[in-house]
Amino acid sequence: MFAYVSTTSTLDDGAASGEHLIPCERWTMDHANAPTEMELLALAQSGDRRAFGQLVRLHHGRVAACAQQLLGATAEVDDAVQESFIRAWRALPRFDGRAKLSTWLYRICVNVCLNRMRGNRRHVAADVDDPKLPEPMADVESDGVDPLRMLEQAQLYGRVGAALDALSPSLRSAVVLVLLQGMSHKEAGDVLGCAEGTVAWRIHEARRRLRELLGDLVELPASAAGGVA
Amino acid sequence: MTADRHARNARFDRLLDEGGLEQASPEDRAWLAAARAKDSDFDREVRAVLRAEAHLRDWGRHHGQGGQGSEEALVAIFAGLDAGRFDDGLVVDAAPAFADGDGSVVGLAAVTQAARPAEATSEVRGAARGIKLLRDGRLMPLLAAAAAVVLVVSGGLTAVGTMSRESSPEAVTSAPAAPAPAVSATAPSAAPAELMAPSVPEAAEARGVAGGEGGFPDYAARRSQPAAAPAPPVQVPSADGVIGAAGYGAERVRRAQEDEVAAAPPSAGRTLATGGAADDTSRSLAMAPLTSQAAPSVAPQEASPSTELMDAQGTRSEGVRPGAAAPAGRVVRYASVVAMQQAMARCVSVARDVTYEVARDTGTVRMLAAPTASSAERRCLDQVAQQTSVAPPPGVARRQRVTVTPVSATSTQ
Repeated sequence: MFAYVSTTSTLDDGAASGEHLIPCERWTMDHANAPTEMELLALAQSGDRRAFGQLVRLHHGRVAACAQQLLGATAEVDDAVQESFIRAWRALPRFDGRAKLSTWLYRICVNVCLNRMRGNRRHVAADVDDPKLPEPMADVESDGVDPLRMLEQAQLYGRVGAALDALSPSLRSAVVLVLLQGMSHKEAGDVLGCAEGTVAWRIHEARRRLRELLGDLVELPASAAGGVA
Repeated sequence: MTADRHARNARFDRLLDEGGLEQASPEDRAWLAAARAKDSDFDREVRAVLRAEAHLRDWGRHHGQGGQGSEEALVAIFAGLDAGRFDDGLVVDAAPAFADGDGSVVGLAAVTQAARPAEATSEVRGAARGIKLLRDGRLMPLLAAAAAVVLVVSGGLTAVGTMSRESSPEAVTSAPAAPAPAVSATAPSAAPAELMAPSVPEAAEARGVAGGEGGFPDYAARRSQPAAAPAPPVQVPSADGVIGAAGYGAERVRRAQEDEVAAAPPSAGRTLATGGAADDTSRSLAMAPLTSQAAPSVAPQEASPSTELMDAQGTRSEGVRPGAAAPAGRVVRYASVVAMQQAMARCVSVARDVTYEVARDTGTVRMLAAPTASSAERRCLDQVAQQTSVAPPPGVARRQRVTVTPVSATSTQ
């Protein structure tokens, strides 16, 4: 039906000593005979870890982005993604294929992140070394980046992040799935287990609250009105 | 007029959801331009919404591309599987349930059908019926009749209760005080799942598992519960000690526990009668100590059962990555940054900025700075850091700054 081309290696390239190595097999797909997602799913459900690994590779990016946007700070994102996929692996036998696999994975990720948000809402952590947070005073000469603009951008991200944090979990989940992950209301409704209309209302409400919370960032002075939005 | 405005807003929302102005059809663009020209308030509104949307999407782009790559993540996932992480039987693929007030809608007057949630209809209908009764002047007699029934029933129950107490042989021997909590006063040695709601009086009121904010209705344990448990469990801890769902009874217990923690004097090295962690979900695990003042105190470092706690023998080793054992002689109590931060929260009396570093490969944590902390607080923070080994360890050294908020401050929020 299809074939894998396997090259045995270790995926743990960061381990210095042998005891940390986790022998894995890196599988290179023979694209001509690449299995479909459904075939991978069937294999994974029968306990094939390689197939599950391929599914993880297929969906990791979107799930990780969703987790990052839900949790905000990056400190926990990797843990949440790991938990999501581990729980997905354990729940695979229950997956009946009625929903799309991506929808199902999103749902697990949302649940895991909500659970962590409940536990961590009082600990706001920011990675000092977070590559996404621009450091306005560092190495600005070398790469020609405008430090003022970087500072403004950092402040803007801070404001937006705080505004998102101020939303309730249901509104935030809807915002992340629809506005940031680009899902339709129906898809988001499938993930969140609610009607399309409920998603629509949540998005509407979230927009209203974000507008209020971002206040001066989005309100133009009266004199500036009249131009193009 | 109001209906027009709602329809206009709904159409604008839909337009934004379907890719924004860039992807709008010429008809939609023309409609929007006309609507904005007609109403300056709407024009301002549209500008503000568009700017907020742009900022949000910009933020989303930047917060959607970090973290591990898929290969690195795969290693962590398989390592976690091999280590038995999250092997607790929790169901996380059910739809999340929100009880945060934004989960369902009550009344959206004249919104288009697409934007009207199905849940709203019955509640709106009920409200309308009440208004109609009020308008017709029939509400007051109904209320009076209901109050009379309640009075009669409660009076009868009181009388029956008094008679039965007087005739009961236990009335002589038992304490006549307030109803004692069903939880034993002795500190239980059972696993946390066995300590939960079934023995709490409010468990009888537990209305399933969807009561807590952001709780998950089916986030229930599939593992076997104690045979003697009189009620279904309302909370189940994950391997991380975070609970997936909270029922009504558990929520009340949690609030009571928060009050109790808040009443404790904040100090760097104090002991907590609850043994509770900083977050509400994990605190509710320690119910038995909560309902009994006689429960033994737990020192901050002797973390609650809710935290990702591992003893020196590694009895809870599910969070440990194979081959990633902590250095010799190091007692590992916290296996995640979250658990460590919760423990740190008990070290400080006011909010402190703490910077620490999680080492790559080993996951050990080193305190780097806590500029405003007192020496006692710093000692405590340092001790917690030394007792932490994040599992699985990150692939790169991770330096983080966190504002640690004391338990007493957060509990009263």
